[in-house]
Amino acid sequence: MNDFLTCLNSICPHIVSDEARMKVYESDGLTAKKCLPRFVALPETLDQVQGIVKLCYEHNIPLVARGAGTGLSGGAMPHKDGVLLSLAKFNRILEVDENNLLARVEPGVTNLSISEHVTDLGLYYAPDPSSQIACTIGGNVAENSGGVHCLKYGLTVHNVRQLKMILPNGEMLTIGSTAFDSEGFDLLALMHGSEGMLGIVIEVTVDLLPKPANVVVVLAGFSSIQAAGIAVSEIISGGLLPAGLELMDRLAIQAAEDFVHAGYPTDVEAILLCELDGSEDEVEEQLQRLNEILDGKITGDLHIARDEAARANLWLGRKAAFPAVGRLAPDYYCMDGTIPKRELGKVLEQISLLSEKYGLLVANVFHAGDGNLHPLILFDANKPGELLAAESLGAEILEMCIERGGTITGEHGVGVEKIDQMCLQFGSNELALFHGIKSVFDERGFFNPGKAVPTLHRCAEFGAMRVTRGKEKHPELDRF
Amino acid sequence: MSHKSAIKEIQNRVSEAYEKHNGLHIIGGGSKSFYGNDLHLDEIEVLDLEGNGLEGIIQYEPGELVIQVGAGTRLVDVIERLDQNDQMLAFEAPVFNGEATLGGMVASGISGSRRPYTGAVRDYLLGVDIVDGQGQHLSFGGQVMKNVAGYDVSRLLVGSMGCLGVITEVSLKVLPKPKCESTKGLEVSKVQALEIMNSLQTHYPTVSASAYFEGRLYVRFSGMENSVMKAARKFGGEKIDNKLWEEIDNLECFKEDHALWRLSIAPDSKLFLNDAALIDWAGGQRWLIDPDMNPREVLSASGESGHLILVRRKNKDKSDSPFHLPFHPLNPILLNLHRGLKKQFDPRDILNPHKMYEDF
Ligand SMILES: Cc1cc2nc3c(=O)[nH]c(=O)nc-3n(C[C@H](O)[C@H](O)[C@H](O)COP(=O)(O)OP(=O)(O)OC[C@H]3O[C@@H](n4cnc5c(N)ncnc54)[C@H](O)[C@@H]3O)c2cc1C
Repeated sequence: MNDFLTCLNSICPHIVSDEARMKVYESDGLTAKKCLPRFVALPETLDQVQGIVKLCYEHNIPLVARGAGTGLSGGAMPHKDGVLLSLAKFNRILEVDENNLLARVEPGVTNLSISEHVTDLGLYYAPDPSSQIACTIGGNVAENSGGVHCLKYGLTVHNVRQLKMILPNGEMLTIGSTAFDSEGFDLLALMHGSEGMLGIVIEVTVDLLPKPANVVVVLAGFSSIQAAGIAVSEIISGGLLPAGLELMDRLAIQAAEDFVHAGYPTDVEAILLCELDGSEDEVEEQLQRLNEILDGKITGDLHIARDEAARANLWLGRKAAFPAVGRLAPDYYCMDGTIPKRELGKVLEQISLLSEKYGLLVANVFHAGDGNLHPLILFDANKPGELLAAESLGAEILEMCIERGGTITGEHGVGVEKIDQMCLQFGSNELALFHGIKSVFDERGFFNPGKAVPTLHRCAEFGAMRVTRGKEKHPELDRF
Repeated sequence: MSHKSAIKEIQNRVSEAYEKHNGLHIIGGGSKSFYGNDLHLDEIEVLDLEGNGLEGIIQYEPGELVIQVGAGTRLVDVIERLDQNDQMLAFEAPVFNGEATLGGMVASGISGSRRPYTGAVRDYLLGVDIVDGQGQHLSFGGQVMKNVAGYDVSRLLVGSMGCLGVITEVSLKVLPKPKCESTKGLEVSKVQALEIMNSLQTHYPTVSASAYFEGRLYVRFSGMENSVMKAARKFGGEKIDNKLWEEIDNLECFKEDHALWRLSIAPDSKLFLNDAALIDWAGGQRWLIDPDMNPREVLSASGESGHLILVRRKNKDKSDSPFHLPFHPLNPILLNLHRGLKKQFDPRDILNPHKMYEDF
């Protein structure tokens, strides 16, 4: 290891190896899972990144990439024997191409700073995770992050045109291009959501969009969360494609109101926030349609926010919902599953039953238009057993998402958090293919080892503990 | 035959071919038989998916914005069903005489006029089921709009030309159909046309298609009625039938006995501006007819990023001359990754061998 450190130091001047200073890197946003790495490297140049990757490749030392560490599934949690590679110093916007509506940026650039950089040109970068002031575009690619506006404008994968990446053997590869598509298989899509397992993203070319001329935000209250769920489907089947469509339940509304006083009604069971955008006519016509669809179904009046301050105020409660809910208990655990929208009512009812069963409060604030749930489980880690209870409650929610035809992660990724639930979502053959894909890029398996895809052995152990839906998912494997 | 037994039969056929190291030529509706390398048909068996139980809409609820269909379903049938609910596939893939199937649509990955504004086939694909090169039936993605569990194998299959698996089922995100659409035609020079196309999105948020050929720039606006009408008036020019875009997407504006090349390039590029018979996709897609030199050499000399597909060959052209390779050659690093992926999905190289590249 001393030899290794000497080599590492000779490649990159910014190496951290003392425990105290490495402490800030021991976890990502999922603070329940932590681990100190051997070294933290903060390279500044492409050569340094390539050098570090090659060195780790030669010595077979695990390498974990890190953006801002806001991930919520432990994707950037370090490996105890490995190097944590921070891309924080790659924070420059390299080029803005107005003709082709593209921006070429380094991976450590924050999501929001791209939009800020081009705002004077009337442009923006559409995907807007709630963490956008902090999270990096490299992390967004690795997680295929979404945000409030992805129902209409898509996820990261829909808004990235080209990537430059470093492969595990240190070679640099460009995938995608400034054209709308490129030759061969769609490796650009494969890289999105690959959680740092296949390559280190070193440059990203994103799509820019002209800012919509007009935006309105509408708030509607409902007498039950089911009614709000039904309204979501009706808005969409009624021909509208809102720029955002978010749902908050009573607990979340109350918490947000107490925290930021956005003026939300507190006498309803649920609210929907619906953003409509486009030209002036476009917005007015959509608004009229929304009125027709919601007529007679809401509690109280529609609040319509037209000017920027009013809109920002309505969004404020939603954006502050996580920290607001966080004030209700010492700790909270944010889950992330997606379900078909028709199941919303049933699943939310189940969640409230689970909440009673475990004696833990659960608040719901989520991307309703996409069916992407974010149950926030409130607990106190200092009370014995509560963290475990919160984790079990979360796991039950995820399993329910699969049963209802959904998925265990809509946007936060698998990381270390949901690795067991991967065994429920996929069969052995699919998992084997995932490992196969990984080996094509990273034969030695030293990029972010142990994350995102469980070994079949692990699934067998996990499966021995439970049998889902009456049938075993991996019957061919030995039980332990 | 039921969907289930259809899949079983495909699995049997593939397993058998795997055992015998026999190649399989996968055919859906046969609508794109001109696309890709010729297969050496004397050496391989045909796996014809036509009418063998893979057709039909499995699940569709308009409020979900998702449709799940058997891969043998005809695209025209899906479009019609969506149309009844005022919804659509927003990438406008070609239907080619009504023969195109959903499996072929995903495997070829060809998108139509709306592409630069609302996205490509890959952008709307949510899940696929496939039979891989060992006869295993695998399932990826699903029927929900956001899903980051596991690698995105679904999207990887788009444009893979059947080389990675026999697609048996497809789930797609659909969109509400615009209430109103209007196409206008305006006489301008090529240079002006490109400039206008490049800036359309900024000035006309309702733009949903743009193309230039035979001295005219055609633009379509889509959205709510008033905004579309206003945009169309502001743009000027002459009113054109919206059918134009179907004709373009189905390549009906090109005669069949010519070599037809498709260049995909940054929309503001000046490359082949003069030689292109048709420029669409905001400038990002250019069509060349019977070029007298290898256009790939021109592209590579320019240093610009982009790629060329020989979409349709002249009958007499042999596909083994480098000038006539349908798909753009891969650089060595990419080729290596492609070979590796192919091995994972199809270890004995039996699915559509050499359809895409000579190497596999
Ligand atoms: C309060 C809060 C709100 C959030 N809201 C949302 C939301 O609305 N939508 C959403 O999708 N997510 C949300 N997230 C999750 C998180 O912000 C995203 O997953 C984000 O994309 C992570 O970016 P990061 O830079 O922090 O990445 P990290 O956490 O540092 O890393 C995430 C993963 O990416 C890998 N990685 C990072 N950089 C690179 C690179 N350059 N090359 C290769 N791999 C790399 C890491 O190895 C790791 O696996 C939220 C998180 C918080 C804390």
